[in-house]
Amino acid sequence: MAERKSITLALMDPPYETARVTTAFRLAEAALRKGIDVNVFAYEGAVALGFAQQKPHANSVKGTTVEEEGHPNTRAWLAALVKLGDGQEGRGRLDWVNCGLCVDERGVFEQAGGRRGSPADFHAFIQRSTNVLTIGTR
Amino acid sequence: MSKFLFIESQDPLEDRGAEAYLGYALELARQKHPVTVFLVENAALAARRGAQVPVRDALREAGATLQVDELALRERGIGAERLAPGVQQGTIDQLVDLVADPETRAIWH
Repeated sequence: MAERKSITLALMDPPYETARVTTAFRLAEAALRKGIDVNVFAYEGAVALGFAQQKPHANSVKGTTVEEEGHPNTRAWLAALVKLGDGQEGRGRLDWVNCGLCVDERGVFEQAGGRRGSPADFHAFIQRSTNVLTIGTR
Repeated sequence: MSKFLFIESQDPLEDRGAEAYLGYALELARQKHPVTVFLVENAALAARRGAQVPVRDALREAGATLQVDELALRERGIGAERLAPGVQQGTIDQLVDLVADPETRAIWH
């Protein structure tokens, strides 16, 4: 039986600023659907991706309501990834760790998913992963 | 011999760092390492036929595989018929397969 594959993604970007976040979520989703386990170490601003108090908003310029706008929040993306990454029906498992000190600095304690951790978790991820991709901020 | 995956997210026409990064990929390709360059986000602009990106053409000549994210192309209105010679559309699934390949070293810029 082939060894189960896993990848680790290190993220640093906060929500709503760069396309890197979108690409990272796309990579994680595709990997989970392929049965590849995904570890994420969210560092620095990336710990706000799952902040549970994010709210969608209307767009007064276009005159659209909240519902019409369908504004995506990264907390919803994370919640969807957590649901997808349950390891069931051939899907991979998601282990999302937020750097605890980074969470404390930003006060983003309420999270839509994932767990609190430290760089030691990142080290453990590296040790057990097939491959590691660091998506550094600029 | 190690395989390398270079994921480029910056437009080389805007970011000189991208040119330097792709230069590393070129050097490895010239040393006969299997190299894939996967263009995502604004780097997709460098995939256009007519875009003056010498390092892209040098990578092709050195035998590197050049792929560009199909979503990044659609977002920017770039059709497959406008791609430079040797550049292929790639999917996020293909990118995941490369990232999850234990023989491949994956690097993001």
